[in-house]
Amino acid sequence: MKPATPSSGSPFDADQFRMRRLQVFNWGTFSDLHDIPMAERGFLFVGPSGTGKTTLLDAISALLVPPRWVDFNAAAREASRAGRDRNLVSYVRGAWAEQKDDESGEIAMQYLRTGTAWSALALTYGNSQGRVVVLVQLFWLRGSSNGNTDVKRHYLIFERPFDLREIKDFDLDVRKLKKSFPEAFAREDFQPYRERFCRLLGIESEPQRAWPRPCDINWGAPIMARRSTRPWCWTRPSTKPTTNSPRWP
Amino acid sequence: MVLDKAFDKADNEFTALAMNIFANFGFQMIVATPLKSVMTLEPFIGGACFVHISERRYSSILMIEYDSDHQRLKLPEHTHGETPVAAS
Repeated sequence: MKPATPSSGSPFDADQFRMRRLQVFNWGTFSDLHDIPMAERGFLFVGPSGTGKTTLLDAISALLVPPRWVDFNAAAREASRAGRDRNLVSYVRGAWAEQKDDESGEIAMQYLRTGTAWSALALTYGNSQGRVVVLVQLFWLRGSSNGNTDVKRHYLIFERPFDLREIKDFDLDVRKLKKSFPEAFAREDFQPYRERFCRLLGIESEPQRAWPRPCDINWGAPIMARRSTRPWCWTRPSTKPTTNSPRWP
Repeated sequence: MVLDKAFDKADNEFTALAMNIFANFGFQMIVATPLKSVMTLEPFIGGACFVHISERRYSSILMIEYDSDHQRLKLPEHTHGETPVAAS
């Protein structure tokens, strides 16, 4: 079947920020640095299941969604209740599953990074006026600590092109890091970081119901969605999703 | 808008319809999908990458060239829309 073609060049605001690049360093099964230029028109991650697509989308979640709201691998969990095994620790440690015994299907969790380990994420936004905003987060675990509350986190925002290679020497010394990047907005907490990026990217920040709920539509769960100034969510489709229209709260 | 396991259970027609709506809303669509939906989704994007894993533990990505004139991914002919051979 020939798919419908998109209406030609659906114009978007010149000042609308769009994702331009995602960088992950030691994030899940992505060891070392991986650099993904993203087309502003839209971007597709393809590949068989179990290769790391969700891991990359969860990187975007970690960068944008408040820690207490974040719901890694939301789409799988909606479907099967599986996927609860994903959390910051598993991503910093680089958890992967080894099929131990083919008959029992027993799975042993293994880690790519034991001992003190750190991870970093960077998401570059740009608009067509040439403005650039880069959201950066650092995560680290000391020694053999393995609890979610053991994960230390640092938040940075740059208003210039930024490459994670610039912090490749990070040694868990935040003060030194701040000194190296006096131009960066640097915080220990998500809240001020969020307020800052919401303002820079033109996202209305509403603390009470700031983020849309994960979507309940059975054809895939948007883990977050934002456009212009209105927060929004989709209602659960009661009959056929095709007849559903978005509800603007 | 970010979609994981996108349109796993939808047919091509519905997928295209939904993507059209999202595009008209002005969303930048960031979509993760297995290979079966690629042909339906590729008109709505501007780039893509293939995600690959080896030994179940080393993930990597491979950028796929995008042909803006034809709004298609430049995949080898014989793999288009089907399971590709190892892309590494």
